[in-house]
Amino acid sequence: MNEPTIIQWILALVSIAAALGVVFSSNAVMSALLLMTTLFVTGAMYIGLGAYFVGAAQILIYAGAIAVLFVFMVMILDLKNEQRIFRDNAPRAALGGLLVLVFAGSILISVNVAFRGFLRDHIKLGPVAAEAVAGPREISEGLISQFMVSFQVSNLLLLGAVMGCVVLARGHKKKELPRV
Amino acid sequence: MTEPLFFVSIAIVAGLILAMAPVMLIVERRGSAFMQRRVGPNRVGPLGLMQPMADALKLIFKEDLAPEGSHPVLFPAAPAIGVVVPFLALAAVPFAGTVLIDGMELPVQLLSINVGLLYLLAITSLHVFSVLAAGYSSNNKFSLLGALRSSSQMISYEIAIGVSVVSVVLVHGTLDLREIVVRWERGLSWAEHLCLVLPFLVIWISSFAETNRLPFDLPEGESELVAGYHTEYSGLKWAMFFLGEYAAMTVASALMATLFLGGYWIPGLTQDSLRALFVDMGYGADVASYLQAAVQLGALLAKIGFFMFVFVWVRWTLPRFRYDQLMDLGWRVLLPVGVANAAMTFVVTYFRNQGILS
Repeated sequence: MNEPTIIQWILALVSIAAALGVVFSSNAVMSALLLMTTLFVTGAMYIGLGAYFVGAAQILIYAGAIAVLFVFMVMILDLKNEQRIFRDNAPRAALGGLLVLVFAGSILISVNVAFRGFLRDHIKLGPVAAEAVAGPREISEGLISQFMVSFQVSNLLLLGAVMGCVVLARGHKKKELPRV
Repeated sequence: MTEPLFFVSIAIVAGLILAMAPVMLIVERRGSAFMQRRVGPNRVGPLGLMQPMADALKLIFKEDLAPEGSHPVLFPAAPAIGVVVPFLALAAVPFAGTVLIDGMELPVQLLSINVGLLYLLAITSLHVFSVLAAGYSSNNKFSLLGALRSSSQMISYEIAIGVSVVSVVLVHGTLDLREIVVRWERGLSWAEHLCLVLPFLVIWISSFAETNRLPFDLPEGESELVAGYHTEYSGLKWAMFFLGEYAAMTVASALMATLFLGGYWIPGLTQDSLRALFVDMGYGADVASYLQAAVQLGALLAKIGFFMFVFVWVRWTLPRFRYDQLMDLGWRVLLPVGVANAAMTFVVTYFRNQGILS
């Protein structure tokens, strides 16, 4: 394995700090913006590893659209009660933090075990040549040939989501008010 | 990092945006005055050209307020995001062809990746967060309203841009901005030109919406919202927003210049013929390539300058859109137009690949 460079260390630390901030911040909008930061820094790590398409797509879709949606939703919802509970109820917040640590610990352990085990010979860390990583051409060719079924199924899923949004946004037909 | 052109490219990116702000300040104020048949600032230097320096000094010395309930982290961070995002976006734009250094042809581009266009769109979509953070952290209902309006406007027109970019990518066949300019150098057929007309218009109109410029400047509508999401910002923080707005305009102009006007391409000259011109004048191969790059950069700057002037021109010509008219235009007009054009481009591309339509 290659040694991580300084920039990779910095990006990793920033992303972990932002992710912790998402969980432990008492301000909901701050959480959503830190989520954007985490997703953006992940995209930056992809670009640093040479996966330009995946990194750009990550920033475009996750940080640029999904995180915006999250921030919008958080701004529209009234979360004063939840924020108060989180800020003032220390045992409850501590329980949440403990569960976070348990979950994170289990992920770390499983990834470590995998890397020291069967993945060690198959995964190579560090930047690779640009030609070796799938660019837009390879991804599109794969999408319409080898992964056609998954592609069409996810299209159907998106279509269903759009239809659901239209139905929800239209609302019920209001009865005509009686004319006086 | 060890590339010799790394620092030159950074200098070009930073210099372009940082130089655009004072130039645009004086162009906007004198230009708007000219259009309104008045004089504009002419006191501070010859023709008022030192006015940006006076403005900058004033803004530096203004009191740096923060409203009482403002968020301590988000309030200063919002203008910072607004400034940094355009710098990142401009990194992917090719500023000139290749330069001959030590026998190697190096591209004059900070980020020579094969998905430059996608990267540029991704970074510009992050501009929304500066607006949202500013409006939310100001502890001011008018700011919040302005921010929500502005961000929903920006994400709507991002979609129109995305759909139009599909047509552009189909015509050029690549996401790499440098390759796109090379294709402009090689020339496009009449059918491909036809497929690019509507995307050009759609992206041009959407750029006004993306940068919150009139006629889409409802978020800053003075008669309605004081100053929208940057009401509570004074002094240098407001100057950051100002710089960020002009930087976003520069990025939008650079994008349009690269996709639709050929970027650093000078019509009638290719990079080789331009370099041969300088070699004939008696310069060495290296110096000829530097001069060629400088001329190409000048061409790109001229195109960007044209778009920036049109930004100013339209601002002082058209009245502001109402919010529902604005959203109507984005979703019901520009998006269907973009999709229909993409459909037409599919057909043209199919026939082009079959060799039928040249």
